[in-house]
Amino acid sequence: MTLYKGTQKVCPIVTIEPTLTTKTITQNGTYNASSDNADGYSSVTVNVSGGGTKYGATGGTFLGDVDADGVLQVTNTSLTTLNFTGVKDIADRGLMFRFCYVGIGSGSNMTYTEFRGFNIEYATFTDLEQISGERACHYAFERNPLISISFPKLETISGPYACTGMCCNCTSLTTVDLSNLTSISANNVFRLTFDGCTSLTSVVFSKLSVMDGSNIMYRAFKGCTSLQTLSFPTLNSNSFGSSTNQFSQMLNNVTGCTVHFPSNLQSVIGSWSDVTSGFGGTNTTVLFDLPATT
Amino acid sequence: MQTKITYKGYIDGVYGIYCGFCPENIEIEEEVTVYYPDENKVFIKDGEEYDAVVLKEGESISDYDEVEVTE
Repeated sequence: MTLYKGTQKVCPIVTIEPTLTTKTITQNGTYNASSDNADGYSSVTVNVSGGGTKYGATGGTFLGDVDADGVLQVTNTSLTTLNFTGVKDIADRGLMFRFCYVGIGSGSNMTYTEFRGFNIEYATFTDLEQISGERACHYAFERNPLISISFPKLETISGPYACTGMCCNCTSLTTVDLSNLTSISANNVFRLTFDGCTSLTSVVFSKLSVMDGSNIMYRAFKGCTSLQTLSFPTLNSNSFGSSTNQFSQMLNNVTGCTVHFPSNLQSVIGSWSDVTSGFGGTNTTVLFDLPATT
Repeated sequence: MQTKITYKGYIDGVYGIYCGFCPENIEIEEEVTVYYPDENKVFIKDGEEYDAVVLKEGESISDYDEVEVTE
């Protein structure tokens, strides 16, 4: 066909428009490009370098990682070791429920989903010197496969209910390091802290000399069916303030445990109802066989 | 409600408290009756809850109410 503009002969121009000039890609991957007129390429691979986690989600508290594709990971379930460095104190509810199982329900009807946010096996609070916050570690590690929890520098706990249920139902827990703990000066600090820790065999409170508060050890070792010994070698006649129920039900649902105290505490706590009743345990032995303290 | 006996005394010069059982070689100094509520119950007196009771002088176990545990 011959085209004319006026009397001038015009050559035909044919333009093939690309079917797509811009493509929005939201994820890494390989895309079919055969119909996109992409200079003969049949596919396009997108791979943003760097990958891995770049971003997080926060809402007053950290919620979880977001990967390079923008996918919220929520929590890192592969994390098995926690090492807190530079943390010298924990404020009110600082670690409350932070690493625990997700529970649904209430009271005795509480059931648990299969979702486990974390699988913590080892937790070390390297620099922690005190816990001043109320419920600071409330059920923090509940139902984790915790093997060891360590507070090597922790000296004082002054937060009420600070460690309530902290290691509840951590059935693999065998090692508890509270070797520097000197003073507890609040109510219910170790309430149900080791409830259901069925692998725990022994705990020594090697420097504990102040237990000034009500129900400090209330059901602390409830259901610790392997527990053989507890030792309080540094308690003395001035350790207890005005309360006499520091050890209330400490060994609830525990059989055959022996609790060791300094010899001079016989006259101080030997007649306490909670001691005479074996701290709520079955066949409990209480021995005042450790060196006298001053 | 049930009761158990706690034995207090010396074995090889070491003072001990044996709750619910009596070792063979103990030199008994004192025997104490401990009252335990039935399962899922607690004792209550003057608003305070007790999982076990050792009676003080002048007290009777009837001074304590045995009630269901409430969550």
